[in-house]
Amino acid sequence: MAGKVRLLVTSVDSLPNVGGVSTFAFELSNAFCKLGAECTYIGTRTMRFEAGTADFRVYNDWESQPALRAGRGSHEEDKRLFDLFAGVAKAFDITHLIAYHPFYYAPAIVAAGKALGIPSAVVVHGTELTSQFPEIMADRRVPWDRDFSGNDLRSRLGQVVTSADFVLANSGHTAALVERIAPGIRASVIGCGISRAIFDREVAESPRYDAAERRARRAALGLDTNTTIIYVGRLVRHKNLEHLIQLCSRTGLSGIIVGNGPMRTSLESAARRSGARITFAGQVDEATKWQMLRAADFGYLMSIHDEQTGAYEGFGISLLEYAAAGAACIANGLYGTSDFAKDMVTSVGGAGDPQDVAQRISAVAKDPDVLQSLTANARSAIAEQYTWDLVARRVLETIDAE
Amino acid sequence: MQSEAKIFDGLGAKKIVVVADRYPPNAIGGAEVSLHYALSGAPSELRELLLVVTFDDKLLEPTRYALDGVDVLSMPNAAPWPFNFMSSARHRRLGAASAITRVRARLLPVLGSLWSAKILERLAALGLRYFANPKGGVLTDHLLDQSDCRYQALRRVIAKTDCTMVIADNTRSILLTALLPKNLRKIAVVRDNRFTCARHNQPMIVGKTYCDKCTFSCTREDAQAHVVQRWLHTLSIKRVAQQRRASLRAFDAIIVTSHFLARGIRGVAGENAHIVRIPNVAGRRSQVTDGEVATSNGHDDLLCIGMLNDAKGQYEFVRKARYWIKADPRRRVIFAGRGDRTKAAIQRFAAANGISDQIVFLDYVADRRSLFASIQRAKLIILPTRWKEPAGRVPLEAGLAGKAVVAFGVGGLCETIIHEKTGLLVRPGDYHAFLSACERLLQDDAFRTELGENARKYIEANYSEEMTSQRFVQTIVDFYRTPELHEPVLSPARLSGAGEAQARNARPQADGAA
Repeated sequence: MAGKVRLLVTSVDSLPNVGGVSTFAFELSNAFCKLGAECTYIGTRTMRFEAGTADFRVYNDWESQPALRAGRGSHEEDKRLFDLFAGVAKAFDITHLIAYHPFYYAPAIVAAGKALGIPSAVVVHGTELTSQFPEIMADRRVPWDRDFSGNDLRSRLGQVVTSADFVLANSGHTAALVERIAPGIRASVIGCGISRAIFDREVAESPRYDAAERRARRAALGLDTNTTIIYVGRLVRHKNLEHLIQLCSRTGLSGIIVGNGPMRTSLESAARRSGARITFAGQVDEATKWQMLRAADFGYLMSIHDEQTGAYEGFGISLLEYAAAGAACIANGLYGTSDFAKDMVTSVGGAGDPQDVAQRISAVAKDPDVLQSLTANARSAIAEQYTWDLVARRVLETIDAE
Repeated sequence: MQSEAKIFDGLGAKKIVVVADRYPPNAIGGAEVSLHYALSGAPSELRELLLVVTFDDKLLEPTRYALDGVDVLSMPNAAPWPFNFMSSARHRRLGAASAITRVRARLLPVLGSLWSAKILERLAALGLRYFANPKGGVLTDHLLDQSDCRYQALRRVIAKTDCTMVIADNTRSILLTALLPKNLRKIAVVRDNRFTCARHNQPMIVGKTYCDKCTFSCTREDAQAHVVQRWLHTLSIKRVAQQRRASLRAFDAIIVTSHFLARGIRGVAGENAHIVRIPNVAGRRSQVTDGEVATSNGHDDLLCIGMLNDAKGQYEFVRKARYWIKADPRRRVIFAGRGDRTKAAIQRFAAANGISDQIVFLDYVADRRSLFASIQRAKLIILPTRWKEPAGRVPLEAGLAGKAVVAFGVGGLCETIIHEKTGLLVRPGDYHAFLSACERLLQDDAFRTELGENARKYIEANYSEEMTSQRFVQTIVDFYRTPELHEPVLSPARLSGAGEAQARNARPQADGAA
């Protein structure tokens, strides 16, 4: 595309709320700017970024009310948002519109795009699809009710994915889910990423897998010096952390669980019962998190599908962080993690029998060459595909903005 | 005094009555100016069918005048409740009469009016008013009935016309018009927050917290004397809110001036209500200026326009900005608007902090050309508004004058200012950010000028007569011709291109990404 790219991006979920979508939105917006695009980011009234961290134009929607994303009052809210987006798009001569999440802002973004003749894209992350269309997780298409004319969240989600000019998915699995909701709609996989600067910093800190060096780091942090598996994230059901406890119990490896969540108490009980050596570190700051990652031998992410909430792993961004820090990824390769986690190439584990998985991990833990190979492969994959600048480039290519 | 014959002459030809709380030239607030712009711009055939009925505190007898082709009948306004069965002027005149006359003329009818279905509510209101007046006074909208002298006058006027449709502009007129017979078609024009916020000054804010949903928690701030006062005040304010909602539901269509209002009114009036958003018109430059006026030499003037009160936040702004103002003697904050209490408080504060020379009061600027000249002289327009501004006329005027605005992001101001393009919107209540924004614009002449120019283009394009007044008039005409109003919903109608655009999306998945 000739001329300057000027993006209007929106997200119902933004920093300082910590989460996959808010991180995605922040990092990708900055990456667009680094690629030379001009980016105006509209988020809710609570959106706030640390001073000097945002390269993009920050535009708070001070009158946002995300509760009006569906049902009563949502049409009126759509009109307000439509005029907001149309006004901003005209004022800043916007060339492309992107909604980083299909709820709340997305219907008006798509409508504004159509009215102004500007291409619109919506990013889907997975869980929001399965929360509204639970049947698609069972490998079923949406068999009935393909009339998306209602005003409920399910219908509005259907309207958005069938009306946007581009549907962008964080993983191949999420793209397949879109196809099940709306046959004929092909979502483009853009993946997820981590910051290039963080990746380069971590590679410089730990150029190779070195068990002794990692043990020394653990000792310096006051952690168990035994070979260690780390998990970083929310303590919720679909993260399958009981399995991590069993794994530590079966292999004799130590575990560090970083983060908080509703399952913390039950996981602590399970760890005590199993006799596994598990440390619950709770919520830590960003610097401490990376210190812990650098001190771990393995990183764990073997999420499953929680049928109650529809939650599952849409991509598995923590795998990228583990690998960047030089820890070998333990992954089952299910759902969105399958894009990055290739068994015995970039990760170890698989979705087989837990006893078998434990044996394989025990074997790898004793073989530094395999560990080095796994981390090196994973880092190569990141360098080639999974940094935010690469994701941003893929987005721009997909929406014909490059 | 005009003769009755002259006043009622030709009313039989009037088919549409517009009831307005106030009307120019006696009042030139945003609401009445916007209404007058719309009506005076209507085609002459329509104007001939229109009669504006308004009410004036000063009048003892009706008076009729024409303003820019608009036929206006100004009636005596009602005295405050419980004396609203008589006109305000008569009430004042009786105040000077003998004691016996006062008792006979004022007290007896009040006692008589207590003998009604709402006796308990009336007694509660009287008790509050005379023994435990809450902050902001006692609201009595729920006690409005057909004994009100404005209602009586309005009925009399309508009876003399061939009226089939009534347009009620702003809250008091809406409450009054709702009492009129059901056979008349009715359009309400909502311009403020009173239907979503029953608090006396409708700020939609309690303490520092904005109200997304009303829980009447403001009564804790406004009635602190004792439990009985709070109980009665809560009871009263809830009834007021109910009455306002019920009044609004008596209308066949509702025009609002901002999306912010539309959203609130939708919540009050229900999903089936006909709500049409038509923004206020900015007006034409030629209506307010003869040409460019140079900015004040040697001063960095920040002009703040609007009534001086808590909701508009002028005092709080001066309090928070005192060091910033004092830091540079070129900085001046100029207030255009009335509000004696707030003005006195600002003056006291300014004197105590040594910034009196840098605070200027223009008071109420009755002439729009003078006000516009003040806007042109200022470097910057500031709106440190604390309440949820329903629509906000100031950014329109500022834009017309090519001036950038710095404002808190509240209510309708978020719709008339495009952040970083026509002005700067900052986090509500964040005075540090507000002053930083002012500083940025004062220091960067090019950016300030650019925003002002953008504002002018934006306002002229989006708040032109075509986009506002003409739509207003067209809505009236459409509704006059047919009682049906159709405002298509955005979704899915605007998403009707569903399924067409996916060819581009069929791009192969990113290599290796899947």
